[in-house]
Amino acid sequence: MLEKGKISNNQFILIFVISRLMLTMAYLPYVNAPPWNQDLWISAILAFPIHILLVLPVYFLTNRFPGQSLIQSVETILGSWGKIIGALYVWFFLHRTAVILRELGEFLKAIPYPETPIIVFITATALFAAYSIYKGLETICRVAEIVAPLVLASVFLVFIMIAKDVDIYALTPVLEDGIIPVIYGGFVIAARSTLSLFLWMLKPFINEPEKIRTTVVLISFILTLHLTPTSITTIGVFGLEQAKILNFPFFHLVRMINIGSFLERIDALFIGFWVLGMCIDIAIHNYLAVLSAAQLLKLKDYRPIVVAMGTVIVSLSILQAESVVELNEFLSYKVLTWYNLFFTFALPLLLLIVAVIGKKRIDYK
Amino acid sequence: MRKNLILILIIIMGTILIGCWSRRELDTIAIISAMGIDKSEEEGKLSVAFQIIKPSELQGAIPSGAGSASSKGVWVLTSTGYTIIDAARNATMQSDRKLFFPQNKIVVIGEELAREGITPLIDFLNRDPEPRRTSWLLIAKGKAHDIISAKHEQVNIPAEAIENMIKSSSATSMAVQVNINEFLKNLASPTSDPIACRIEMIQDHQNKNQKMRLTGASVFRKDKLVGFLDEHETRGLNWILGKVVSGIILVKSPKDENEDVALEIIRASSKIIPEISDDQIKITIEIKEEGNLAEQLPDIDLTNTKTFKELEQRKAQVIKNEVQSVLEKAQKEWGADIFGFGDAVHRKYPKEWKTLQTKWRDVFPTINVEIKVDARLRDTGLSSAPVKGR
Amino acid sequence: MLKWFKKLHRHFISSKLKQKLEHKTSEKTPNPLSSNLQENLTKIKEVFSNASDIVFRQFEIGSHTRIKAFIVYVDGLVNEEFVQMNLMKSLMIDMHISEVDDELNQKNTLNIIHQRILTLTEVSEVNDFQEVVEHVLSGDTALFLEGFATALIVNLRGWETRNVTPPDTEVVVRGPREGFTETLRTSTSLLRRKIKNPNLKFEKMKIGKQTQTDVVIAYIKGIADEKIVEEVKRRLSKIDADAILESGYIEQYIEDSPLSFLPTVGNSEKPDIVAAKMLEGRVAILTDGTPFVLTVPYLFIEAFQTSEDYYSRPFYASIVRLLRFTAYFVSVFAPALYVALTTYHQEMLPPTMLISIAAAREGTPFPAFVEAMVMGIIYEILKEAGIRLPRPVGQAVSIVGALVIGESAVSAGLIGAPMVIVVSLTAISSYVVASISDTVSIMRLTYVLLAAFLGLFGIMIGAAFFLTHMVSLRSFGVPYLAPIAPIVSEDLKDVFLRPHLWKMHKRPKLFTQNDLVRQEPDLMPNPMKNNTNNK
Repeated sequence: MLEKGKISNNQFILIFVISRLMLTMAYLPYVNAPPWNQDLWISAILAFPIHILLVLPVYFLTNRFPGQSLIQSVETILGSWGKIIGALYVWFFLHRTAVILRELGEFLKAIPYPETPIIVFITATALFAAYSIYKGLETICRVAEIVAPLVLASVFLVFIMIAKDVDIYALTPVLEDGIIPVIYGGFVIAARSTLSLFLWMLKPFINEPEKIRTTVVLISFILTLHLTPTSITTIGVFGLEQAKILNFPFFHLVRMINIGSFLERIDALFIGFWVLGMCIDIAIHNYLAVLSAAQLLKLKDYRPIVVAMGTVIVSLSILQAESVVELNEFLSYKVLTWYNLFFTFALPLLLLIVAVIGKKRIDYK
Repeated sequence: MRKNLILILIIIMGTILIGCWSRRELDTIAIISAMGIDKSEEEGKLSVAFQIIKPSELQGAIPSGAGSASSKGVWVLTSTGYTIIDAARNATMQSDRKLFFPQNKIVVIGEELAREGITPLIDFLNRDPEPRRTSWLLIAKGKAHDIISAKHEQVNIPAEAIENMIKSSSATSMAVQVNINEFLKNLASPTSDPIACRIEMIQDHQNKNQKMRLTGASVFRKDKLVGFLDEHETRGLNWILGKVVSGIILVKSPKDENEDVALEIIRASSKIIPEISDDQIKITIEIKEEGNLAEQLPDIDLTNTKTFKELEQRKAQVIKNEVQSVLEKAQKEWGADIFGFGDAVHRKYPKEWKTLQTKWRDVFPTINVEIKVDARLRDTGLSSAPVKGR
Repeated sequence: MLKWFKKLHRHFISSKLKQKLEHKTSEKTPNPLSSNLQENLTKIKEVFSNASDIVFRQFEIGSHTRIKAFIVYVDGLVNEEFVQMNLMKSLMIDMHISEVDDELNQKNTLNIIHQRILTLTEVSEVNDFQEVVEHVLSGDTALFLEGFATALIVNLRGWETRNVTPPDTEVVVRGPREGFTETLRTSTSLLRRKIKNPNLKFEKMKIGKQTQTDVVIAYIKGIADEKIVEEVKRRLSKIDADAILESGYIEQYIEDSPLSFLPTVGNSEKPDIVAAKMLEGRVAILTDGTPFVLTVPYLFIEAFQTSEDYYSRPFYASIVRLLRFTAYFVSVFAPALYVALTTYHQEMLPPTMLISIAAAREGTPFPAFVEAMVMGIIYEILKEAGIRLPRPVGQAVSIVGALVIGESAVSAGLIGAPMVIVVSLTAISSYVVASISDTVSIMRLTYVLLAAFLGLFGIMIGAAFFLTHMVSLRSFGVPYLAPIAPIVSEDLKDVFLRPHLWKMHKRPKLFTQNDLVRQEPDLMPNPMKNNTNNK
């Protein structure tokens, strides 16, 4: 076994929630996606069942191949052809880490550190990610266990503090353009999540795999619980048109907080928590990239490739886009939704069908 | 051991070599408390006045009486440029420090410039990470520079005085409280037109000094200033928007038509109810108000049900008149939907709105508006009848 | 530092000496005593040559059958009066007048003396020469008799000891005042008086090739986890140091992560604290010669829990505990945040505060970061000087420090007043969690450095590194940051708040799985209910 640690179901919930939350918090990409209007909060609620639906193929696959991670079960299904699919997934994790790193850098460069080169933030965070990967999965999850409640609590505190500035009329009329765009919006939101791949990679290390259904539902629920108030407050405070053109709506929201003329200007605090959360986000994604690569190459230990992978990720994150505009084009719903969906839903579904036809499975022993 | 030493050296060297870009010591920044934008005499250029705080002058910052308040707690720096950020960077040629916007509380725009449209000005405030969206936006009747360089007797930093004036304007409800965010929200909305605060220099008759005063609101059509509302019209606007918090309504005494009675507003609320019938849009504004008897000049006992009813009616009429006056100007004269009628229609009739939206500017001035005022009088304060001299 | 010296010492010790030492220890082969008294005497004199504190006294026993004998002891380690009255007098006088004198012969002397003459309680027979020497060195008195290859070891220990006094390190307002002393026996007796239970075990070991220090592993059988007890024993027996002068030596040889700046072994000077920790399933290590008792496993949150939390009522105790966490964060982060806020994130400060700070900073020569570093280092110097200097001088130093560094530096315009406030606030806060205040200093200076280079981002990256480091630590198998990470929900109630005692009816799950129930779950005092029961 490459990784000897075990993580509890709660740790899995927190590590995934934090890795979803951080980017949404900063960029809130859904405002510029369907349904394009004030019904975003309904889409956020609808994303809850869709999110669970999208995990199903992987859920059945992991049941069919218990104790095997993504790379291993793909190889069981397809034999040596599985290596190619496995390599695709390694690329997916690698690229995703690079994207998140870049987004961290872009945010920091945009607001608190306009003059600092982006490579400083990217290298520093990648260094941290490498360090925590050396310490293992258990350590990353434990850090998430400390940071995630803090981040969640502060986010909900923001909701409470901004509540008095929310103009609830900005959310009306409800269902102006009918229900179809709203469902599409929910789909776009759910498709951004990579829960199925997290599940696939980490399920062998989870303490109580039999309780995974509750875990998945809880994760979807927490994400909904976060995104719904976020969309309500963002649109309620800035109005729809403003929310669409703001690069970092939630950050602006935090800036707007002013309670009794003394509780204001807490945005730097927000940046602090955000950086802390992003560190974990990047660490876990980086870890998945390293682990999947090690499994693909059948290494005995993943530590030797950490630094190499880290270097690749840093270079990739800088080279992948020339400017923030180019990055945003990739991250827009038109591209990312389908890109993600291919890896998280379509490919697993195909593999599941192949496995069922080929009657491949591993029995509990 | 040697390995560790090298590693530590690399880290320290690295941080020293790469760090410190965005670092700025406190004595290298010029904290701006207010900025005013005017048209420059040069063609196409802006002239921006920055009110820069001088911390050393404010040391031990206890305001020691009105006398020293006129001392120079701030320095007004004027700079020109083709855009705001251009002007701000040009300002560093005159200032020994780099301008620092996050603490800026007041943005004043000159009347002349505002009439030409302020979208090009506001982009900087929206895009640059430094300025805050919570800064107050004011339109100066006259030059913005005069406002920025004006002194205030009570505080060392005049911007603070303006901010407090805006915040405490809810005592009269005769001014509007609009920050950049609010303004941008209305500007971006496809239906409504933005408003902003209005400020001007007025002559103080006692010592012949000029002083700042909030004098109502300024009204925009799209991003162009179309006109100003005076104080009573502004309260009319606030009645419609439901933003009246407090204030005094003067009515003539029912018993003596020459004497005034002051009625205090305790709470108020409003409702905008649109109605579409036969392609004709009708809007009903329902205003509910409650108040107290605050002061009376005639020495007649007003505390009986009948006079109270009479007072309530007169009060309702005053409110109606105020609302009517603002409707007259904004709807008929300027065609600026500053009341959110469009939003109300949009909300209630989303389907009809799709066709209305494009021609809303033409439809808006033709709308029938009905005003319903429900004004109540509740309390008489600490005494009932006035003291009578015999 | 000490550790480093030891390392150095180990390096430079000549290999010959090392070999010799190893030879000596491996030579634990029996070295039996001779039955010839003279031989024994010369042998023991040879061992104790040039040791002026060793006392030999030769004498004869019995009137009919005269048997030569001698006693050996270390002057100062025994109670001379007891030796005279209880040993010498009974052997040389009482024996003559008692009836056993007649029965005495060459063969039964030892037996008679052991069984019938010596009125002392702790007497044992030892055959091995090496063992006799060890006993003598530990303060026992050895009695040799002509014709016997066995020595009688009599415990007449009595040396200058410190009284049981209130310790200086852990001062309490409410709670027992007594502290451990340097004498191991006194310390164990203090513990035994707290826990009157046969399950309280004291297992003895000798550590240190030169010092032969007595070490006692104390735990409560049935509560403590056997695995942890075994692990402690294993680690202690692996210590191959030549000297154990204080329990700190042991700490550094048995800790889990010697390369970490965080302590993973706890220490205390107070019996009540150690007893409480043992009752939660921890293991205590008592060392002769120091009042500091080690407790393992040691968790991070133990620094925030004091004995007084449990002695006083829970409401204020909970507030105090929250204050302690606040103070910890203040003392770690305050200077770094000050540097970050005033040099990177000025927009976060409220306007009036920014103006005040800017006014104070106006005209000071150094950047905020240098100020923070210099003030931090000066504070550490003052602290060190204050501890080491004799008390009257120490006061003078602190006055000079406060006046010169505080007042004059500000009024001379060398340093901004806010920095002085921040540093003194930090200094005071760090003593709220006194037991880890040394680690706080390290973290504080690191954070200031990071804040100077990257502002809040630097602080947060640093925090992420520290956090990862902390959660990866373990103390004797228990995660260092438990029960916060990993979350142990049952134990979490006694972390940030102090619940009612009757609410904590179970022991912490972290240290032990045995006998988890402390008491009945529903012991909330309810006088009304009790009254009706009585009637």
